[in-house]
Amino acid sequence: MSKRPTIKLSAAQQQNLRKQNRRLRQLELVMRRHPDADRDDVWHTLIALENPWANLERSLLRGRGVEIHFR
Amino acid sequence: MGVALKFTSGEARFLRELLRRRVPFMVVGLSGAALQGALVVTQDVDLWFRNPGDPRIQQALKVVDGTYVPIIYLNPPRFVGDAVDVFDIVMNMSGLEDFDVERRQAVLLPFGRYRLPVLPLARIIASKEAANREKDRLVLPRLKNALKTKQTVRWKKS
Repeated sequence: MSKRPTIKLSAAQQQNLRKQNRRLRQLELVMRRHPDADRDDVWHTLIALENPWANLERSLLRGRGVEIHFR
Repeated sequence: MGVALKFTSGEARFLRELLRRRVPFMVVGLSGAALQGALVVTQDVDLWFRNPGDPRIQQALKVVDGTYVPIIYLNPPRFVGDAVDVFDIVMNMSGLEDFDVERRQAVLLPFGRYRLPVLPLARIIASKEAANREKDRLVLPRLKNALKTKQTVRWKKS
């Protein structure tokens, strides 16, 4: 019987999986409490909440990008 | 000359100078919402001061080579300069209590060695609902999704 191949994950990859699991648990919790919420919005809000300053930078980046586009 | 697309070190410096001098102010509007996880697009950072004429604001501006331009006819007061062009001075917040009442509820976000006061997302939503402009109505569903997420995740942690 052939041995099932295994993939050895790096520490960073394992951390990503833990992060993903945590986000999924939080997503399900929000959706249970607020079934009317937009699932995609909630998912990306969870990510944004992990680094609020990066979210502000993205927000300004998009806003300023639009401003330049139409200038 | 290139245009700074991200939040620049000069802009951060200005906020630090305000905080260092204990100027009573809050980040409000969509930038405040973005700092609380909302998925929105904005071009400026709205600052609500207890007193826009506070001399400590002038001191902070001087550090970053910014200038305060007072009200001229229908134009509100503005900050001018590379480090401060992104900031808008908010004179009125629709649907909210006085500055001091709202300031007591502010969310304090870690900002280096300081805590940056930000109007809570629920109050930003209240001000957008009261203002009720077309652009406010467009963004309200996203703000409400962010609030639901934030309240639930915080509830889970506590």
